[in-house]
Amino acid sequence: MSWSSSQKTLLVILLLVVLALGAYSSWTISSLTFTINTMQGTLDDLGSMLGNYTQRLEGYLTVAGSTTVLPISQACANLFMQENPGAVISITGGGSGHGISAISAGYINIGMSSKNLTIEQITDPDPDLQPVNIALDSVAIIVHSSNDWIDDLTFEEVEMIFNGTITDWNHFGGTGEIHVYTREAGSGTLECFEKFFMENSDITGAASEKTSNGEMRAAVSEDTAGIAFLSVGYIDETIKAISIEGVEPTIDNLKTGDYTVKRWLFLITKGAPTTLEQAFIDFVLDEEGQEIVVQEGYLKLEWFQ
Amino acid sequence: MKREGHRSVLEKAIEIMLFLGAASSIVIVFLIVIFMMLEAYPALNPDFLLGWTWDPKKEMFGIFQTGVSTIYVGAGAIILATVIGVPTAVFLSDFCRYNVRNIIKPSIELLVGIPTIVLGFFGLMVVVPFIRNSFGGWGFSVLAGWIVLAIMSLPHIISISEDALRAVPSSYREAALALGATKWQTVKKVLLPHAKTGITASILLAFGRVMGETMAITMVIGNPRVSWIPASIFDRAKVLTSTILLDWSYVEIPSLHYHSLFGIGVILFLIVALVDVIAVYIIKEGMWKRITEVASWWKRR
Repeated sequence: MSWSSSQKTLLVILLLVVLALGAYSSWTISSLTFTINTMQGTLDDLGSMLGNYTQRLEGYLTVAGSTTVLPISQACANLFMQENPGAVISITGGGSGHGISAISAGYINIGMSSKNLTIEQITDPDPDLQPVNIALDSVAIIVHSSNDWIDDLTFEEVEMIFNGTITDWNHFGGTGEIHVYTREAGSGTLECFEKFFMENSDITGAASEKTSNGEMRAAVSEDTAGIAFLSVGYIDETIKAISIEGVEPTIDNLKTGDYTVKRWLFLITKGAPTTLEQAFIDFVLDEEGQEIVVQEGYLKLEWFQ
Repeated sequence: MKREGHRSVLEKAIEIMLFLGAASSIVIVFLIVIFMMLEAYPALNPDFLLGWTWDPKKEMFGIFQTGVSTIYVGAGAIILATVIGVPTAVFLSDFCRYNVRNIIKPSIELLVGIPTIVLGFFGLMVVVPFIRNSFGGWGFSVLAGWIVLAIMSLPHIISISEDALRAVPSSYREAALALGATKWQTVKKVLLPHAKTGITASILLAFGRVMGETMAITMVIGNPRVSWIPASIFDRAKVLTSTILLDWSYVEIPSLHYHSLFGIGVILFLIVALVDVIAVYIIKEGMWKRITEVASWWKRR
């Protein structure tokens, strides 16, 4: 098929018209969205002023902070958005420190943190910040499943292995160099591990960095000389979890408080939460959200009340 | 006359649209480079380039050891790929039956389509345990990196080198064989010298690709927490790309750490750009030589 030149001209003109229309409509839509947003804001204010705000949950939530809490928030947000089509929740990481500073500055709606505001040394947290416990996390020491040189370690022994003082398995009656695996510096699991085990020293520079709990488990399950720390939710039969001073890192021992390595995970709002913020936090605390907590390998609140 | 004018307007419109398309891609590349340079600028100082240690925890951002490891890993992989790839190209172009070649070459080119994460996974589950079981140690090693990167760059080296070898005029082959040269002598004295340019270019292009590779290499190279220059091929190492990958998820914005990560990006960009420029220069040089040869041949006639 061949095109006559007038047909070609027509085609080009048509194309240009379509382009122009596209540009115009996208401009209109964006200004329209803006108007709607403004109106929505006004309506929200009106509604809360009158105290009869309806149960329709709509609007945007931005959540940021701890990468340890991120999987919980992400899974909860996906379900929450399914149930409330009007709500859009965007979740990013950045670490607990970022979560706290961003919520203090009011850049985001909800901050995620694996650090306790009252205990941890945090540079000027806003007095208005309201943390809510949503779950707990714990860390276990793991070795290869065939490793029968060690079953139990003291806190000091763990520290000496991970800071590079003990480098050979012959210290425990085995043979060969100890292969230490660690997590990238932003990891919440690493933070918890360092808090409980590495009081006075740093992890040895010779340790291999892995970027996720899954990768840590895979590395140790393959390496007979390996040792690593792992979020308790990831423990399975491919690796062997070591007991610490006679206490095994099981959910039961965590519930009774015998296994002491644990920390709280938080969602933080600035001032009183808005309706949507409250709805999301309630969702995480509710049965459905707590089920996700367990699925993601963390410890649900119910076990500790 | 009127119709002519009509056409020229149309041609002009199409020309402008094509130009806009081409210009936008250039502008985008340009903007990315500018953005990268601006973000990296605060970190680019002698402490960054010649600093011995990269340890964000201690606010130390020196890439010297990591950079040397990167070149060590990249160069080794390319040597390995060349040793395997160039003979394969010779085999495909001159020693292989036509229908066999038609099976082998597409299979090799299919290697290009394998996502790097899949190659990395292969390295993690096959190459690393193999090295650990055969030679002891961690398994995660420079050697594992070499093998994975060599597999990745093989198809580039083989297919470009083979094209270069096939581009040698068959009259050269025939002349050499007619003079009583063996097939091996023909390859050594006639084909390889003539295809030198193409083969070098293929190696340099593959080197550029290998330097920028991130995912697969991070999975098999071991990444010690504090980087060092590997002492042997069974030692672990940390490369520039894996440093960016491991650090970006928790970097504070803006901070010296953040700017230093962009600095690493700039260094990688410069290395790859430099290698590309050299490759292009070598190709052009080779073409120029060929042109002058042909010109002098014409003159002598």
